[in-house]
Amino acid sequence: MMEPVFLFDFDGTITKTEMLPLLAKNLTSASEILELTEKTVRGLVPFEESFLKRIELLREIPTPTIQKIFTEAPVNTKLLSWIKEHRELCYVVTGQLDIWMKPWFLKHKLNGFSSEATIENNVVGVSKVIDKSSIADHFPGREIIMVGDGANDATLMEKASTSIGTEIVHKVPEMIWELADIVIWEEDSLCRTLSRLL
Amino acid sequence: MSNSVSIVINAAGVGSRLGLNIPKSLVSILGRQLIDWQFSIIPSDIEVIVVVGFKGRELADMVKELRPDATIVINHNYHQTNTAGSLKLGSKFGGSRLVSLAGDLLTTEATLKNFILSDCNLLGLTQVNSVTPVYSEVSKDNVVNFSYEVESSFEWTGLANLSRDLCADLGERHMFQGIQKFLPMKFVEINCMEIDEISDLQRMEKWIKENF
Repeated sequence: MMEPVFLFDFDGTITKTEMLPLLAKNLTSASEILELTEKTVRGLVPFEESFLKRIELLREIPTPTIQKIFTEAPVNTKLLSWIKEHRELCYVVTGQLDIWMKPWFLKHKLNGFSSEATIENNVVGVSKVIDKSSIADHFPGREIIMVGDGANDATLMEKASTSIGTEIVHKVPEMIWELADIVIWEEDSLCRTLSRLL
Repeated sequence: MSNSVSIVINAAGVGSRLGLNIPKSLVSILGRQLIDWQFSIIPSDIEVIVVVGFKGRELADMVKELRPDATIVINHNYHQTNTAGSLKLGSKFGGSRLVSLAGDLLTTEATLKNFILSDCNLLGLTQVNSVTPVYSEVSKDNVVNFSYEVESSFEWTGLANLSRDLCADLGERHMFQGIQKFLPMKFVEINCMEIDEISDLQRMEKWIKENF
């Protein structure tokens, strides 16, 4: 029997907060990006539209600064330890740009899937916004366990064998409730459940 | 106590006979909701899984206040399945032994502890006292048959300690229907009260005053 694969959303699942509000602290005008992030998590604005808009707003922050914010972002430590302990079965699936995530992946020796960036004349652009549902195609024949908390996790949850909605940071939106098999509030409970699905 | 025991509260049903438009778990008795009374007899070090369906979000919010370490399992198909279906879903995420507690049943702390400590399959029966009992025919220490028609002095309660593997093999209907093929199975007579109909609310109040 093939081993299961565990896929984890990044913002608000592995990290203790959504990342864009953290980045917004470095902006002269943060309110727009905060509002956009909130609406995106709740599924009120399509992820791709919101993401491209947010990238524009973030252009004034140098990439090394963003990378530093990512690598130093507070994480759910017990969950991250569990993921690292089972790193051969685990992947992070995030809409964030690959150039922002790369140092984080290196730091924790983890693999994952991200949106793809372009850089022209020192300006960061987006060549491909991740389609989370397509990530399931990378693991044919394997049982997929998807762990996430936001509306943009829904398409992957639809393809997963088991979907876990996490409410460690915030309540899952209604569409995630409709797709999830279980909802969990605490890290210890989540790690115990993940171990039972090995 | 062993970490491999999980309590599964099957609370997905509509509670149509009660007719209050809320899950039975949220019915208030003596100022506390039924699920609150249930949590009061569950040791804090025992893992709890609550299977929700009808008005599940509302029930989950209450569970979060009372036991934030609990796992919520969502039975999206609650209107077409019954307690066995819910237990099957819950068992996927539970320990090696599961104490299944019907969402409308209250028993004593001592009784529940006895079920938590059991390392073999164990069913809880009580003397017949409900309007539509599931009669339980017994022989010595074992249940040998469940039936709506063949009368006996005991009825099924909805409290059981079962192995995880067995829970996964009970089908989707009522638990007793799924357990039927695994009989004979050991039982104990328990002190408990369940809520099926409006008239049970007063009986439950009286039972709580006598036993808590």
